[in-house]
Amino acid sequence: MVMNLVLAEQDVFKAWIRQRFIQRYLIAQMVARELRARYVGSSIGLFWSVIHPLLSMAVFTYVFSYVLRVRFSEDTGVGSFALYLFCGMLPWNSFREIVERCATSITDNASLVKNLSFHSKTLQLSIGITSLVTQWIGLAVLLVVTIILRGSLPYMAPIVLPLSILLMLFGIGLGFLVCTLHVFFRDTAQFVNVGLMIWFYLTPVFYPAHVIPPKFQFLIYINPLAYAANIYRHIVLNNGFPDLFGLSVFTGLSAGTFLLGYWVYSKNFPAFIDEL
Amino acid sequence: MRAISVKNLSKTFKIYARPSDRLKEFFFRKPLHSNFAALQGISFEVLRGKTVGLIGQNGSGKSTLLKILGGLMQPTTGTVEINGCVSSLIELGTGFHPEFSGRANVYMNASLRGMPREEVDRRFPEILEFSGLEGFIDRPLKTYSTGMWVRLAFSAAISVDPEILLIDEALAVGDALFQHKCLQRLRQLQEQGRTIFFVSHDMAAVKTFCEEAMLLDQGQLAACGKPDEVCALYISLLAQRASQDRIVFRTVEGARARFDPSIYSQTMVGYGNFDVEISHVELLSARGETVQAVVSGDIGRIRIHLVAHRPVADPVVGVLIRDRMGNDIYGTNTFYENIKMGDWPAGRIMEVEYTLKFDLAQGDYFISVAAHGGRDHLGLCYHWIDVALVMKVLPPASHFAGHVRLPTKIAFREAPVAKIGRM
Repeated sequence: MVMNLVLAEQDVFKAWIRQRFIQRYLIAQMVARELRARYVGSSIGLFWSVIHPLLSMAVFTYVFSYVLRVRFSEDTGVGSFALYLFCGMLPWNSFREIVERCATSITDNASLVKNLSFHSKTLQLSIGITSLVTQWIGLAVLLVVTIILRGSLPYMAPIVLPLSILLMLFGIGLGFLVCTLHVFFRDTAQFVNVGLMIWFYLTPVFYPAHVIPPKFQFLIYINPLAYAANIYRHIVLNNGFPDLFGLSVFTGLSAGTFLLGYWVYSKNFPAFIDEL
Repeated sequence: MRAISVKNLSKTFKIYARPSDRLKEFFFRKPLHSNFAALQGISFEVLRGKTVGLIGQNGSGKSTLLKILGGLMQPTTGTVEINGCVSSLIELGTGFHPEFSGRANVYMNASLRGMPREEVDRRFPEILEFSGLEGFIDRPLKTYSTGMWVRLAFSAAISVDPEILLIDEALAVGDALFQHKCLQRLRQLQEQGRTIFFVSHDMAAVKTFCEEAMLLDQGQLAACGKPDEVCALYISLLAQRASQDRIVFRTVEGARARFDPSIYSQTMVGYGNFDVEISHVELLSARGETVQAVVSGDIGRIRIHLVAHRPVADPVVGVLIRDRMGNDIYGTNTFYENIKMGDWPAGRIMEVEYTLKFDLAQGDYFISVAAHGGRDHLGLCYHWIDVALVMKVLPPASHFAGHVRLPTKIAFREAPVAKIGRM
């Protein structure tokens, strides 16, 4: 029974990969278009996605290290909190962007989904990949700044790449669920926005996990984004290998959410068209 | 070999009065929607290589049917069998982005249609040539005029090489030259043995382009057959809707059974309530001989024989001359000409004769005739015959340009002063 389920999921996953392989050119085009459309008409183009994280790092450093003088880790270097904060913001922002944009992906592209028989899941996947690309640019900026501020190379950093892909799968999985819901209940996107705002404050991005009172600690254990933020920080700031428990919980949650979202989306897809 | 086979297909949409009703229904498990049957019990088959026109009023289910055939929508009940790869031209320019160049948009559109990159590369020159936008292709789409946009969209869409092509109203795009190109391209696909399923409001296009036609009415398949017959039935259906009157439809079988087919030079379909029936129509020369052709500029007569089956008050009898493309060239009736024919008792046999000077360009013309109650046949219609006669107009002795010769006088003299205006 369990074996069957696993096999079925593998088949689903295989089919999914095969379809994506056929559609890879379409996805590549969608991602390229998405990235270019964002900066179309601007003179420095994609360079904005480097400037944005750099400037936010600078302003975090100013606010938290000089104005508020926040210090809660043993590390007391200049901009330590800014790095800490940015390390948490990076996965969060990417995740938020994916879920928010996936929520309206079907309704925004109704004319495509209604009139062309293409694999509509490429919409969510290209949103995910686009966000992954900007996340990686942010990551590169973060690494450069880390090296400058600390003078050491966090050589464990490449481990973040597969993690960011897992995070993307988590986001897309959730995106599949909310966009399915949004087709039927158009209040979903609003609900998602509010939900993400609450989720953001419940995730240790602005504060470290250990300051949460013990009776609320469970919120950290059920929050995949808390795992993501901790793992990112551990790798980039402490240059350590992530603990296997957190890693496996995060992996399991991501894969599970993705498969669930994929299944729900596929099951409801025929009904979409009637509602658009 | 069947390309499309549809059996007992129905499509029902759930209609919710308010968005919140859907939520309530979901949670309380109490049905709050009403059902709208967009298609009911449709069955038909399309043979490979045929071109089929689908006509019907707005909301008759044409687009829904096309979407189901294209695999974009699932039928509620019934089966659809498609043999061959389908491409649907349902909406033009889907996924076009104004900020990107025409080239980038063509590539995007083609890959959305499932074309691999190598194939787009291969077909691109053909698409570009077809669109006639060589000088603009690398400019952003937002700088295009609407016409250029549509031309590019159509060129990209038509470049696919499917076995079955579904087209929705997409032909009426671009200028006349481009429309001509589109028709040529479709003819080329026809000759290559592609199956084309074609939704249109344009009767002329359906008549000239399709080998078969289907009429959808309120979600049901009302007729299926030769395009001119189905089109005539459709026009009669519109007339019925307009007049709310009892109307007898004459399908081909009906017409053949009731009339002697030799009377008419073409298979035709009539409709009306047959209070007055047109029993015979003939074309006569000025000398009174029955003819099939007149010389352009000659006098000719169209004689209509009628029988009144019921008493009618002040009937109107009219003729309409149409060209090969189905365009109305000239029509008139006794109402427009201010002729009152009085009341006809049941059983009266009448003859109405039109003497006309056929100042028409050389070619074939169709003559429609009608007997009706009001000022035109769209109201109370006794009998309308779509193609009562086919008439040939022979070349005139002195040439003229265009469709009709207008009465012309030419005078010339030497002018005392030069008059200069804004030219």
